Amino acid sequence: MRVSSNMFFNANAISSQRAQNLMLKAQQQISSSSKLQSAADNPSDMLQVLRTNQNLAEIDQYRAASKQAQTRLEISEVSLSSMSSMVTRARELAVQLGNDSLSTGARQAIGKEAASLLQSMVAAANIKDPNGESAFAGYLSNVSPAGQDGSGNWVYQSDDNVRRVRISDTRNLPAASPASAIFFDAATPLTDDASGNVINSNGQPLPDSIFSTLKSLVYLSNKPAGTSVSPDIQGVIQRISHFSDRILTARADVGAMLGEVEAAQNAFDDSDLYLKTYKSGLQDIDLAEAITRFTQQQTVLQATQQSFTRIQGLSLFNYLQ
Amino acid sequence: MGFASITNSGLSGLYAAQTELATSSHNISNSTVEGYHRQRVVLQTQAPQLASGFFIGQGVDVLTVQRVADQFIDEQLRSAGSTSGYLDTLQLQLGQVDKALSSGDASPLPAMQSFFAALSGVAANPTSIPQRQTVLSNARVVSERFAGLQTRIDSIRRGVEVAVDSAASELTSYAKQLAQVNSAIVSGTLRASGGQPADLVDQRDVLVNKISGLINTSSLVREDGSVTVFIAEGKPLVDGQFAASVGTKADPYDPQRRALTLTIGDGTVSIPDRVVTNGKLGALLATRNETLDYVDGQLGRLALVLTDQINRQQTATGAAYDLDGQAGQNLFNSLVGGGTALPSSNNTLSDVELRYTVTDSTLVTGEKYRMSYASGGWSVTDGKGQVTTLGPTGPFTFGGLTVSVVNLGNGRPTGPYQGDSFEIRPTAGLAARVQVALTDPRKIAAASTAPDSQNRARVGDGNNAQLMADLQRALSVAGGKTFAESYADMVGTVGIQASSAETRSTAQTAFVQQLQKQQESLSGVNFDEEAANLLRYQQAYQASAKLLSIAGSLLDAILQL
Repeated sequence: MRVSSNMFFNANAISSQRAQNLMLKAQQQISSSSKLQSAADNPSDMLQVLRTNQNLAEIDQYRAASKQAQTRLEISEVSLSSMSSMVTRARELAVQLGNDSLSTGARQAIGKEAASLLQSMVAAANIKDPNGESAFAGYLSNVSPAGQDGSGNWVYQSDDNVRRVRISDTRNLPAASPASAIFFDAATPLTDDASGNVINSNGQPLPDSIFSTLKSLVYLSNKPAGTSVSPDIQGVIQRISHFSDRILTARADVGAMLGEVEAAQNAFDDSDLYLKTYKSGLQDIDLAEAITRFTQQQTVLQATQQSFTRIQGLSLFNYLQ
Repeated sequence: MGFASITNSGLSGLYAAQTELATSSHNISNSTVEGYHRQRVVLQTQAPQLASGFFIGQGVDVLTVQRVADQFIDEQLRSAGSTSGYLDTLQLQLGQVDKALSSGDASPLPAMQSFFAALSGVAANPTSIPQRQTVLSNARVVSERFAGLQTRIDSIRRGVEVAVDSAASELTSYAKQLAQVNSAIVSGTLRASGGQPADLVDQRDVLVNKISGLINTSSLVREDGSVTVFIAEGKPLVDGQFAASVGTKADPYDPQRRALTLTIGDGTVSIPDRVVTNGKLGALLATRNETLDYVDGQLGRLALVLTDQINRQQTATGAAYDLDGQAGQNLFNSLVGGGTALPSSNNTLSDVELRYTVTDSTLVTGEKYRMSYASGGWSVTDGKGQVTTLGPTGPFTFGGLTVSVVNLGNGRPTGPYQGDSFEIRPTAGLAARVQVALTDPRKIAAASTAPDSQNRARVGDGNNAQLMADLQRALSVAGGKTFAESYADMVGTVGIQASSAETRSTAQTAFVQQLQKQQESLSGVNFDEEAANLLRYQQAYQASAKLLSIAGSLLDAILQL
């Protein structure tokens, strides 16, 4: 083939340009440690990266929500656990009071302890989470669920809704139980024992909450010695057992929910790791490979430049004197 | 007889060697001139003379100075150059759009993710004011990102419009130059006895190549050496010594948009975008009409659907209450109000206006529509060219829009008229208009339950906030996509366009380089070759001069007798 002098210059310009282009690309990839400078570098990988980012963002949201749920559930758990021992103590006191031969002083001592248990119980039922929301309230989380009405009766002041937290695409975890489902039981019929007999000898309705039950206990222990309280105390003991069962059930529920939250959090960590590894495979460069590529192009560029200076020196005109 | 023959041969040899030396020098000095083809002197033996029964040679004749060129290679280069102009520009322009959309710092995607994360935080903790504040501040970041990206796309678009204008003036200037070169070639050819003026032919071809780099052309070389150039599917730009001029005018629907025109003498015709298929202009128009319009529509649609869906959830009747138990209000300013269709500047003057509103954002596709009135009825053409007959009066519903035909009664003739047309771009530019309407974080309607009988707000209810957060997984965007998928789709589509332009441009460059090599191989100047030739012609010149001196000394010898 005939060769023109321009061809040397063109060839040099073209191969320098090509080498410099590839060097620039390698250099950008090395400095950003990413293969995907823009979607044009690999549109389908870029789509995958964007999709994965969205999944990762959702996992972060679920993780944050599950932490909120965890905090609230842990507070409920602590509160229920202390209430559980309070109820046990209340039952002991009630059984003691059932002995009609107790002196007035002994009855009063029981009464004082029962009154303080009542206060502790109310405090535990109205416990607030770090955000200042009542753990056992429903949607009306800014009110204390257990309160007294004008006549001093214990009433539930919140609503019956169960607060839920989304911890996955499909799971709306109940993250608390409203106090109405644990400490109050307004639907108690007069005949509530196994055989269907009226337990309360004086025909009064049974206390409709753990608080009213404790209040009855205090009331009964304030009766002077000699006044028989044993028939009434049977009803109180039955109610204490009833609410004790409820507290235990609620604790078991909270424990199960905490277990679920923990399992979900482990699953988040797994998916997070998997997705991050997947994303890294799509966009992160193999540094060794990129540096090799860069050096390779550098060598090509040097060789091009050196051969060019040699070729440029060759001209017949050098010999025409 | 003998002496005259020697002198003639010597003189003709001197003349030939001089011409060859001159041509060689011309080759050397022009070797780097764009479009230069090396020249070569074609010699021919002069007709011999019959003397004493013999034919005696009479020396050499310069037949012509030939331009060493292969028309086939040159034509291939021209058409490859047009495609190069197209692909290089396309790669450059689409690369800008691609980078703007892919940049993580400018993308609304991470901002949307933070916004939804904040909503999900409110769902888990609805009473927290800081958490609610996070929703509003992230909503503002979303609006800033949308606006920022729109600004970026708008500035690329302005760049394209400016480039269209300047390419049009370049075309006009090349056309004028070519017409001048044409007439110089014609008059040169007429006066010369041997062939066409090679250097002017080079200039002519360079100009035709430059025109081809800007727009699709077809050209025809006449016998007299002049060239006729047609652009954009048969519109004459240069015919002999006459040049037309290319200009721009405003698009009939949008004054910001430039459309090409061709002015021949007093008459101006428009060059529709669809016939501009190659060269730089082809790429600029393709970038604007396909990529930028697409991105504009898609980005605006995402802004529309996102704000509308959030607002709908935030204002859901009987199912959205704020921290104070009040019914929710729009979180973003509403973009569904629509607007007025753009009338064509070719419409008959009338009092008709087309107004549209978005009635269902989940059906909006992001394409533009053209509504035309003919034979007493309206029809609509969608972005894919599908025509649907609508009816005589309206309101009409299509693509999530409701369009009503309004007679303004403003004293103008009561329309519409046959041939009137209007353009609706329901989502174009909406991305710039996303704004956060709420300022008070308590107003986020996180609760889905109404206040209780004592009018106490359900502050611990985060269900509606959860429903808003769940929208990030809902397939709200027409075509069954989530917000993130819809954005990712757009990034991917532009990425594929840009990557394909890049690949094609690289391949085209290699092809052009190959052709240039072939052309250089044939038509390029080689200095060593010229150096050797110079020596040869120098010696030929010296030998011819010697002939004259010999002839002289021979004559002297005779005279001394």
